[in-house]
Formats: sequence, structure tokens, C-alpha cells
Amino acid sequence: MSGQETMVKRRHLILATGGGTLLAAPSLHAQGARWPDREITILVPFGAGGSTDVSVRAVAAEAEKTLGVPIQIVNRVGGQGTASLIQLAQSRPDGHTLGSAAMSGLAIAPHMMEVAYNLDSFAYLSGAARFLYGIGVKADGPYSSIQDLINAAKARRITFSATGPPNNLGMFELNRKYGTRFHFIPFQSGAEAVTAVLGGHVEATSQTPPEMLPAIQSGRMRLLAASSPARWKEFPDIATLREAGFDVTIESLLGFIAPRATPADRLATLSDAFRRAAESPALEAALGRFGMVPAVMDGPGFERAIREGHARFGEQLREAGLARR
Amino acid sequence: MMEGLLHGFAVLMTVQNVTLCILGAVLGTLVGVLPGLGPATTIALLLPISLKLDPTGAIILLAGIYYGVAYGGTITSVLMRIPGEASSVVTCIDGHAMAKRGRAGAALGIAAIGSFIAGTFGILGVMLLSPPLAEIVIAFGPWEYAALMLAGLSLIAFFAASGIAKAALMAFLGLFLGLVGLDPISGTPRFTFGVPALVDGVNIAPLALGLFGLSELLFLALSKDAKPEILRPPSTMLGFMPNREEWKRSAAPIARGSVLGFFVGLLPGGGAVLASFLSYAVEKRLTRHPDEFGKGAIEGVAGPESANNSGTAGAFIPLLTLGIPANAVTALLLGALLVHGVQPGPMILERQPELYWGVIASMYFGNFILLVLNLPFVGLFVRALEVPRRYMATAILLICAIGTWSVGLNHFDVLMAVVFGFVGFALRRGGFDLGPLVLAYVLGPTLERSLRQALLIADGDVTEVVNHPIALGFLAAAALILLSGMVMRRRPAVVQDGGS
Amino acid sequence: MAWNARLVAIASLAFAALAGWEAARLPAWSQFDGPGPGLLPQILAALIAVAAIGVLVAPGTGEPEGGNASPLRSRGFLGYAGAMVGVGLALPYLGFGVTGFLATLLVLRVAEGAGWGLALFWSFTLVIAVTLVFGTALGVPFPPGPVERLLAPLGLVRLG
Repeated sequence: MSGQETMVKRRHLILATGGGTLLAAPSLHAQGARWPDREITILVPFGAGGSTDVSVRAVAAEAEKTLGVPIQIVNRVGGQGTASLIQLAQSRPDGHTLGSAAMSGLAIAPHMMEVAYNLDSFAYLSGAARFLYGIGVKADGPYSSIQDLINAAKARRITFSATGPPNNLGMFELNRKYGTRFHFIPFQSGAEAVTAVLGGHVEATSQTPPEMLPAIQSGRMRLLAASSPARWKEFPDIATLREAGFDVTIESLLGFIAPRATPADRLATLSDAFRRAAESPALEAALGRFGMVPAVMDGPGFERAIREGHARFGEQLREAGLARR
Repeated sequence: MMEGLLHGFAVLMTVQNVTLCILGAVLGTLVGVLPGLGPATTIALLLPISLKLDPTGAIILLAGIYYGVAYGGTITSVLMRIPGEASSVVTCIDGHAMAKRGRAGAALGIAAIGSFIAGTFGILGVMLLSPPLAEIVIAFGPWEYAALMLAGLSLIAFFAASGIAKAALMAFLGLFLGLVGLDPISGTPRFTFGVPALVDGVNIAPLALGLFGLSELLFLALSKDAKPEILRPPSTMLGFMPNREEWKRSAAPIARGSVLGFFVGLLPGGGAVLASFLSYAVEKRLTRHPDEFGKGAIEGVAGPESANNSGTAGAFIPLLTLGIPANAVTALLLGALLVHGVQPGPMILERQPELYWGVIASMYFGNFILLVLNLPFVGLFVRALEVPRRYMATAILLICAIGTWSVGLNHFDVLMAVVFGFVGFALRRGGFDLGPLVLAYVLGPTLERSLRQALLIADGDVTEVVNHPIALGFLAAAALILLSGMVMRRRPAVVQDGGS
Repeated sequence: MAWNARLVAIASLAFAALAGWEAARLPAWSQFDGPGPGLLPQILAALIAVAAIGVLVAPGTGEPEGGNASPLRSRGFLGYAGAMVGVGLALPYLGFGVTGFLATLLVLRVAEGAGWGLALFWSFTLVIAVTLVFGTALGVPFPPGPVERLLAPLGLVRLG
């Protein structure tokens, strides 16, 4: 599905990125001069070694080849992923400072706390990766299929562990659409959320592959369904929620953005380089280790996905009582 | 098992890996001296380099740094009363007091040797007990953690030299500081006043650096002499080492610290910090020289330093077998493993025996290298105390400044460190102990989160705790610790026997 | 010490009042989720107040650490305190090089009574040494100031 989608979107690339930044376009830059001419910095909202950081580094390594200048990664940690976006929104819009952003910072955090930016503060370069999610239970527990679990949750309150939005939103969506009573218990890290299931402290978990795989592969946990748009490559037989007949999916993307006023020609150069990087086979392997799959999207496509996510998550968070008042 | 370890050493003993291990330990020690930089920041800085190495090499380098930084933090704690991280806060108390008495060398020596022994013990524990201990970690749910944290908090009874009201005030303030940031359950910002840097809470680095390091600087400035009153250090190499009596007094604390630290370190959520505080409390309770505690008792250095080192080893068990990082550093190690396509988990021993045993062997080797590297230099480190105040103090000020900046790269952390410097100064002038504040600050968030998770699961029913025997055990322990701490405070100092 | 401890206790009471006021705006209990974000802060604010009153009643005795003389009359203290505040305020704007140099100069001239020659020499040496060891060799990111901007293209420091 994503293949077709991107084919169509790619054609809009130059047109749309130009339209989004009419205000900018300073005349200083002589036409024909080779740009970029010096290093580019990408702000990463989370610490070195985490899934976001590593995926961004992997994309940057590929994009360097196209752009011909070094890309420096700066981990600007803080504010639950918002600090780097605040800094990016205030950076000089010359195309030398870029940001990487996932749904968490762009489409979720603004609903939960006050931040000094909004979706219009940025120009969208490209999508790079999609996160995978899954629902798991204890292997020796009573539930052997997602249908079992959902039936049980219709009859009584079932606790599940997750780190926070968007991981928990799929379960809330199930509650809303199918009358289940899944009760969210927040945990600080994915590994702790998974361990809580293994120890029988909660009954189910909604997390991502890196934390769930060790438990599943050692036979302690059973994966009931993928709650992302795509199945897990390690378990091609486990259907997604949607395939199992439940119209619920967690869509979360990672992509690249720049300050809004960045010149259009530079945006086009960057957007093209990052999109090409996202297509490279080396990237797929790197992302796979962190439970992600490549999501090749051009700027407008990524922007649309983020804006849709912003609206959808806002609604879900308000219903779950998690949005700020 | 033994074959496994031998195999591990075989993996380790390539020129590249030994070099990486030494490099890690040296670099770690150097950076550990930079207050605030801490192991987590350091490993993060070096992670990009490690990406270019093979997985075993990368982990060896990072494990070396991990241990090196911990020891570097000990050096600054003893010499300048600047803890590199929360787990060396306890070392500041008696370690720095020893330095003022002219026994800095002994404090550093016993810390290095105690750490080595404790590390050895911890690694044996990891080798022999990994699978069964992983079960304990799984069995710990929200109730158990909440009760454990309460038991940990009750330890402040042993840090209440200045009276229970003062210690309680410090602990409550510490708990409150731990609340700043997003609410762990609902995500509501609390006490952040719109400051982005506060959304993640009050960072430990500006807190510890300010309360301890900068306040010490202010006291240094207040003293009349240009040099702090320190007895002349001995001139021979042997004179730096702990003497016979110090050895004798340290043996049991090292043994107890090793065992305690290992088991406490297993549990995510402040393991190494709790381990060092617990060990200090235990030694204070058991010592024959209670009047020396706080004034430079070597037990107060030997025990906690051993405990936090074996706790470090213990933290590898949940990491390697369950993929649960026990602290910021093991979280980064986990990231490094994942980058290299290694999925930690119960299967790691079968799938990647080279890596597993390689890591264990390198942990051991890293410990050994630290001992070999540091003991000869203890004399040199101690000389730092002879540097006139004007040079030393200005160096501390600038290093603290760059250290706090490097933690979060934001202005707020630097300002906060300065504010905490003056707060620490005021508190110490008023005779308050800072230990309870730091302990409560570290344990508070886990306490709140676990308690609220437990109540959420039980649908608000507090009586659910009776179904959790381990939790009840910890609650009983908390009561016992409080009681024992009170009794000890009442015991007059003169009653202690002369010892040997 | 008693006087200092009372001062801390009074400051803690003020802190508890402010904290309690701020915490009162957070819900203490939510019907669906058990205890709310405000419960613990409210309890702690009360406990801080109680403990502070306890300290007011029994502030302890003895000479305060650092002696009875007022720190505000100590040249050394004022010099160092001023340098600390200065570094805290200026570091992100002036960068490490400028701030570090001025702070060291201030300390040496005011607090330590050193001559201009020595003060300038040591300030210069120290800033260079710290920059080379931590910035160049260990790759710690430095706050961007005029000096850092000059050094960054040479690869001597990383800006952050």
C-alpha cells in the first residue's frame, strides 16, 4: 500500500514545497551556486543510542552521500521531545539546522502541554520510518487470540501496561469502538511495561518490538496482534488488528523537518536527499533492529500524515482524559 | 560456566579489545573527574565512535568507561566533595572528611580496592545467578517497588545526625524536588512554570553539583587561609595506602557492601544509589566507632564504594537477561547492543555466547585495569590538595560550569546549579545534612509511580497490599530500620567499647 | 547555627505555602485513575511545613560550619559568590571562553587579592587548559560565545 502511495506523492514534491514557503526565498543566494556548501546539523529530540537517534543517524549517513557535506547529529534532549522542536523553531532558517521529529513531539505533546511551537512552525522534508506496535499477553495465560482478549475485556476490566501515547491509544480506541474495558497502567520504560506482564502484575501490554521480542522469543509472552498498519517481520503470521476485524491502528512516523522560513530551493534539495536515503536498502536493516520499517514519504505526504495524526490524537487524548485542559 | 568465562577471556584477549578496555577505563576516569558529565553523558558522547566497532569491542569500551567514570567520581568526591553522581554522594561525607584529616590516600586506596573486590563478587554473581535472579526482577511489581522505596527512605534515620526534624525536612524537600516535571501517570506538568528544562524534572547533575560542589567552593572561599587545613600528605608511596588498622576496619564493610550492593543493584529504579546509602547505614549501625561517622570513618567509604560497584555489576543481570536497563547507563548500553543487532534477553547466552562472556570478562578486566591504573596515581591525585586555593578553586568553578552545561545544554541547568550552590551553603550553615535530601530525591519518583500504579491496578483498593508478601516484608523492614535508627541516636557515644 | 537553621525553616515554610498553593490546583484524586497528580504534592507541602515548624522549635546549637562571622563581610566569599552568579547568568550568552576568563579574573583580583599579572596569566591558562582537555580532547559541547564561534571551524570545540 505504501509503495503506490509514495509513487503518486513524489510528483507533487517540488510544487508543494515551493508553495509552503512563499515568504522565505531570500535573493541573497546566487543561482547555480552549489548548496549545501558546509555541514548540516540535525537535532534529535532523544538521547544517543535510542531508537530515534539511531534511525536518524542511519538516514543521515545515507543522505550525506547525496548532499556531499557532513551531517552532524546533536541530541537536544528534554521536555519529552519538545525541547529540540522549540530550538528548531527558533533556529536560523538557512537549511543548515534541521530537526527530526516523530508523532510524539509534533502531534501528541502539543495536546498535553504548552509548547512554544505549532505545526505551522515547520517545513516538512520527508518521512523516513514507521513504528510498529503489538499487543502481547503472558504466554501461559488464558488468552490465545486477540478475539479472546477482546471478549474478556468486554466482560470485565483488563489492565494493560504501556509507556504512554501513542502506544496506549490503540487500546483506548478499542474501548471506544468495541465497548471493551482496557485499563491503562503507565510504565516508565517499554522493558518495564513488558516485564509487568511477565510477572502477572498487568494482563496485557501494548508496546513496540524491541522490548517485546526478547520476551516473545523466549516463550514467555504471546503476541496477539500487530496494532500498527503493518505486520511484524519476525511474525508474519500474526495479523494486524485491522486484519483481525477491528478497525483500530496506531500510526506513528518519524521524519525530517526544517524551520518554516527555510528557502524553497534548499528545502527541495534536502527533501530529495532524505527521501532517497529512506529508500536505501541499508536503512531497512538498520530500522528493523529497532522495530521500525522504512516509510518513504515526500514533504507534503509527511506533512499530511502529521496533520492527520495531530487531529486524530487530539481527539483520542481528549476522550481518554489525557489532554491538557 | 568456567569454560564460558575462559572463552570470554579468549574473546577479550585480542590486542584491539584489551586496548579498548584500557582506553575506556582511562577515558572514563578522566571524564569522571568532570563533575556533572557522569557516565550517561560520556557514553552518549562516545556512542557514535563505538558504532564503528564490532559489538563486543563496543560493549567492552563502554563498560570500561562505565567503571572508569564511577572511579573518577570517587576521586572528586574524596578530594573536593563533588559527587559525580548520586551514588557517590555518600562517599563525600566520610571520604572528604578523611581527606581533611590527611587520609585522602587511604580513602582513595580503599575505594579502589573495595571496588575491585566488590566488582569481582558482583561478576561471580552475574555468572552464577543470572537466570534465577532474573525471576526475582520479574516477580517485583508496583507494590513491591513501592514498599522497597519506603524501606529505602527510612534509611534517613541513619543520616539524621542533626536531629530528626532537620533530617525529615531535608527528606521532604528532596521528595518534593523529585515531583517536578510531568506527572508519571497522567502526564500533567507539575511545577514546571512553563520552563521546558523542568518538564523532565530537576536534573541530578545541577542538584548534586550545586548542593555539594558549589557550596563547598563557598565554604572554601569563606575560610581565612588560602589553603584548606589539610595535614601534609605522606611523601612515600606506601604512606598513601591504608594502614593496618584501616585495613582491619574496612574488611567487613567491603564484604557486606559487596553482597548488599549486588542484590539491591539488581532492581531498576535507583539501585546503586540505594545500595550505597544502605551500606552506609549498615556500617554506621554495626561500627565500633559511631562517633567517627561523618568525621572521616573509613568504614563509611569502604562499604558504600564497594556496594555501588557490585551494584553496577548487578545491574547487568536485568540488562542482559531481560533487556531491562536498571539506570541511565545500562539504558545506553542496551541501545548500543541494539544498534549492533544484539537483542538482549534470556536467549542471549545461547545465541551470542561470545558477546555474553566477552562482556563479563571485560567487566572483570576493566575492574582490574582500574585498580592497576589508579593505585600508582593515588599519590598524584592527593597532591591536588596541596595546590593553593586560588588555582584549585577557580579550576573547580570553571569545570563545574562546563559540566552543568554539558548535561542538558541549557541555561536553566546552569542557573539551577548556582541556586543549589547557595541553597546548599545555607543548609549547611544551618546544620542540615544533605544526604537525606539526595536519597529522597532519587527514590521519590519511583515511590510515587509504583504506589500509583499499584492503586490503579487494584482499582484504588489499598488493602490489596496484603496479597503481596514481599511488599509486606519491606514495610516491616522499613519500620525496623526507623526504630533501629532512633535507638542508635539515643545511644550515647561513650558507651562504645575501645575496639582493638 | 540556631539562627541559620531558623532562617532555613522560615524559608521552607514560605516554600511549603507556595508549593501547597500551586499543588492545590492539581487534582488530588481522580475517579477513574485513583490518586491524581496533586495528591503527593499536597501531602508533601503539609509535611514540609510540619517539619519546618519542628526545626523552628528545636533548631539545634553550636557554631555554624564556616564560623560565626557573617559571610557577607568576607571578601573571599563575596568574590567567589559573585563569580558563581556571573557564570550562571552569562555562560549561555558569552560562551565559556569569555565567561570563564572574566570569572577567574574576578576571583583572583577580588577574592584572592592577586596582582594583575598573575590574575591575567592564570585566567588565560586555565580557560585554555579546560577548553583543550574537555572541549577538544573529550568532545564536550561548549556554549556558543564569540571565542567558541572562532574555534569551532578549526575543530577545537563543538558547539552545543
